[in-house]
Amino acid sequence: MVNLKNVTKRFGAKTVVDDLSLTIARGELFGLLGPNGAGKTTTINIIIGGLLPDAGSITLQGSGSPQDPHIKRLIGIVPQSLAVYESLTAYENLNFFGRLYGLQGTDLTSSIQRVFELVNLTDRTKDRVNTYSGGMKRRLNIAIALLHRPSLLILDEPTVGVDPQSRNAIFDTLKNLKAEGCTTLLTSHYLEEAQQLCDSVAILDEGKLVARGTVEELIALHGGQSILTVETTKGKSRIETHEPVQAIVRIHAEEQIISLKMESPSLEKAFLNITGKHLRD
Amino acid sequence: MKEIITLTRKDLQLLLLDKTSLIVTFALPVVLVALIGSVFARSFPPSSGITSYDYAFSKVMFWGVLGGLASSVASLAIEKNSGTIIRIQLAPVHKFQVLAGKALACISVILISSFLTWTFASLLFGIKTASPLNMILICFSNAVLFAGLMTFLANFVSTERAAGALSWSVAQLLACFSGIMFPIAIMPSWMGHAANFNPVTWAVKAMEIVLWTGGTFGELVLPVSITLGSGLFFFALSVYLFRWTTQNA
Repeated sequence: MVNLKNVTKRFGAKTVVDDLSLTIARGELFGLLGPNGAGKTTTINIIIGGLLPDAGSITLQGSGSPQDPHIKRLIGIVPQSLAVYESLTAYENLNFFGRLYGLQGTDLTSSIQRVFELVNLTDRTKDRVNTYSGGMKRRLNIAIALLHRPSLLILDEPTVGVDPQSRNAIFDTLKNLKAEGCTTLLTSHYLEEAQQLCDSVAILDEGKLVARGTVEELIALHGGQSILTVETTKGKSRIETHEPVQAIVRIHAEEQIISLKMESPSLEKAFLNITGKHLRD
Repeated sequence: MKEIITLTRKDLQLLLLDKTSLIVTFALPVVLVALIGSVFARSFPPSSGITSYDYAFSKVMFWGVLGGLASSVASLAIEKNSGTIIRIQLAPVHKFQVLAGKALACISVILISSFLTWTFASLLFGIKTASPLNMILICFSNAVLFAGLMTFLANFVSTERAAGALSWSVAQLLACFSGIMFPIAIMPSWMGHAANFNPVTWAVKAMEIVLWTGGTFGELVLPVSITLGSGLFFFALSVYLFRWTTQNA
């Protein structure tokens, strides 16, 4: 669905995306992760045709260029900023963007209704967006991107600053879209989010691709061992192991366990091991 | 064309919800006609053929137009900052259509402002217009000129604050050297000649011909052509210069 080959983008002397090659398969929910300034948003801008790469190529849907109007129509974008008209109502926002995509009459009305249901905003359609909570605005931001039924949905930090309820609603929406076969590219600061949602992820650091694989692969390769903190009648101990269940069984056979805490390998740990920094650095 | 109308309608909707822009664009010119007309009341004896309100109207009308220009320049900066421009960029619309939609909204705002000021000035202060058709023609050509200028200026700003600063600075300069603020007759001769290269000078000349001398259509051909042509030139230039986003990492 998306194929980047040796893409490089520079702003002045700074190389923001450095020889990036990436493939996203049709129907995949793909996470693009990296600290601030890693080049995620620039990569997205290149994929949607907003920026031209200085070197390399980008193709969508096999051989299409993102500059091609027919290809552009297949993309839905959820920018990091709230790309909505705050003084208009949610309905007026959707009505405007729907018309830009050529939707009219009952097609437009039913599409608006569909996306309102998808993001669970049906009870506030006639309210001005500036009366919405941050989470509701984020959901509307997603709804607008879904209006024309894109086959590639790109979300740039879609859950920044949202309450847990809205975050869950956004997760549900993404899972439903995946079930419908929509290819999704997601950037996020929240690794647990990527771990929960993504089929595979790529980690960017300073414009370079430093790791790529399924979440499970990255955790297995770079996530380290499980850490058990066990308190028994004989005292407290910390054990690092790849086989925590067997370790617990073994300890339980020898001693009486008073308390037990287990830290599993995670994408967060894998990220730290790969890049040497936390995601928010 | 549908896309252009959709974009225009959205911009007009947003303007109607912005009370400050509404006041600057629609109410301020009427208030200024009353104030400036009163200030110069004794300077225009009946023998002069025009009243102080005729004089005030021919100048002040442009301030409403400039208000419309400023709010329209800001609207494109707001789109670029909020990210809505990215959505519009991805939609199946050409940059020409986006700018045409903005320009059409700006033309509509300027025409509404001009007609409102004209109506109130006629009803309240007895402004006489020999040919309403000629008046409509120059209101339209003025609107095209300022809409073209608006789309041109919008290329050079990336924030709402910059849009306000640039559009009002340019507006002041154009007003200074066109006869809106000071009569060209009192300027040094070189400055008077240089003012002919300012398209707004021709918009003011056309307005004076219609209001002060009741001139014929023939007399309006040159100033209206220059005004319309300049507007279209600035619009074409802005389509060429337009970039969807400010490049950043």
